[in-house]
Amino acid sequence: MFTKFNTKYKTVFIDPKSPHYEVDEKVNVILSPALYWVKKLTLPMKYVRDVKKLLPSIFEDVLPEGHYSYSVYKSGEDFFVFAYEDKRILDTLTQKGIITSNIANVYFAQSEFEHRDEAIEINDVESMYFKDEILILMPSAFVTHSKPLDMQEISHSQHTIALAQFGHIVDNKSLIKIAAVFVALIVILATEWFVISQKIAAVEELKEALFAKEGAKSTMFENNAILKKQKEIYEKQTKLRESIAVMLASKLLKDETLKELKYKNKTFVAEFSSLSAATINAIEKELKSANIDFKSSKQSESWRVEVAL
Amino acid sequence: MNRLNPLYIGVGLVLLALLLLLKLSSAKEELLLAKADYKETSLTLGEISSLSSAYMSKDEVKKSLQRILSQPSLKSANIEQNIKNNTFFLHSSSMDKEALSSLMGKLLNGAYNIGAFEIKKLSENKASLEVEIKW
Repeated sequence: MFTKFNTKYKTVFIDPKSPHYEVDEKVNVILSPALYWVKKLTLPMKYVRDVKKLLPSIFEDVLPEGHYSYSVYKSGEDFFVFAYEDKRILDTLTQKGIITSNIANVYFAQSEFEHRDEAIEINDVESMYFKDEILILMPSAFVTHSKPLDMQEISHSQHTIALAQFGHIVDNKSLIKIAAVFVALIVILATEWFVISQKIAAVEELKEALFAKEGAKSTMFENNAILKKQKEIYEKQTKLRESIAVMLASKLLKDETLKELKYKNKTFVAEFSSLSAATINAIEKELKSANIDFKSSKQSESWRVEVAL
Repeated sequence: MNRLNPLYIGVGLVLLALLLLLKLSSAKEELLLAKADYKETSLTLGEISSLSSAYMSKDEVKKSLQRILSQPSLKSANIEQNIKNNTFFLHSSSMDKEALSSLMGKLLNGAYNIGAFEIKKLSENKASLEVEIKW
């Protein structure tokens, strides 16, 4: 039951009893009265937005249990209010071979066939016609005069609806709340990320300023090598002075002599002559208590101490 | 049905939030590394700076030694001075023990990088001396 309009898209009239049809392009969809509930109301309200708030309560006692969406438009002084199940319509569309991505616009038959006096035959057994300005379905057998569905005569109204694919799982308000939470989370995360990025940039700037202030080499590899060399020098010089201090502090007896002090090729040497065993012991004890590793040797009158620095 | 599918918006928001979480996590890690790196750099450069100033520079060594050697007690020791590359050489084939003690006391207590030295006792009051001071 497809009819081509003089519009951008083809139009499909969808009823639960419509035949299956494969669609591989976008189409406009007109919903049969079998797929929605409609009421015509005269309300002491001027604007559609005021009526929208009342829609669930208007249908409260009429609708069977389900997840409904609502729509309303104004015609003259009257409001036409609609209730429909998104999932039921989407399931019907899928059954008829129309996938969601191929749906351009969705209309109610109520708004698209307005002002028709004659009944319209939608299939072999059913027709639809207006009774008290409401388009209703009824068996064709009860209708005396009807004419076949002719889409050529229809020009689309502005009254479209958007089908909510997950409306039966989460309602729009909840979706908006969840989305708002995510947006807030995204804003917080983005702000924190921005702040941290600024901090990283600040630390990098501080580091560059430190390099400039200390006149350091451009890479830490070079600086570490310099530091290692300087530490070695410092440790050797400290150890050298400690070793000399121990030797010069040794209490020698009258005949005991310090003959030579020498530091060359990272080795410190002290050579004594005529040292008694007690003096040797005292010097060795001092070296040990100063944590200085040493080697000592004795040759005839000479006693020699070597400290590797 | 031309409006954007809410599922796409939802998936987009979740993906964006996840992406930002990952970015934030790596940024936090990067900040910690940057801070640790800054701290380490600061320590290293601080140590280099203090160790550099622990020993005298070429000019400081020259000036300081000239001042020490010009003292009356050391003038008579006839200490030879020689500079080669980055080393200051001091040599005396014979100096008395007071002068030696004075000079060595100043060298060992001063901020000199002593590269080598040799002191040999010649007699009860005399000794020879060779010292290399680097910068």
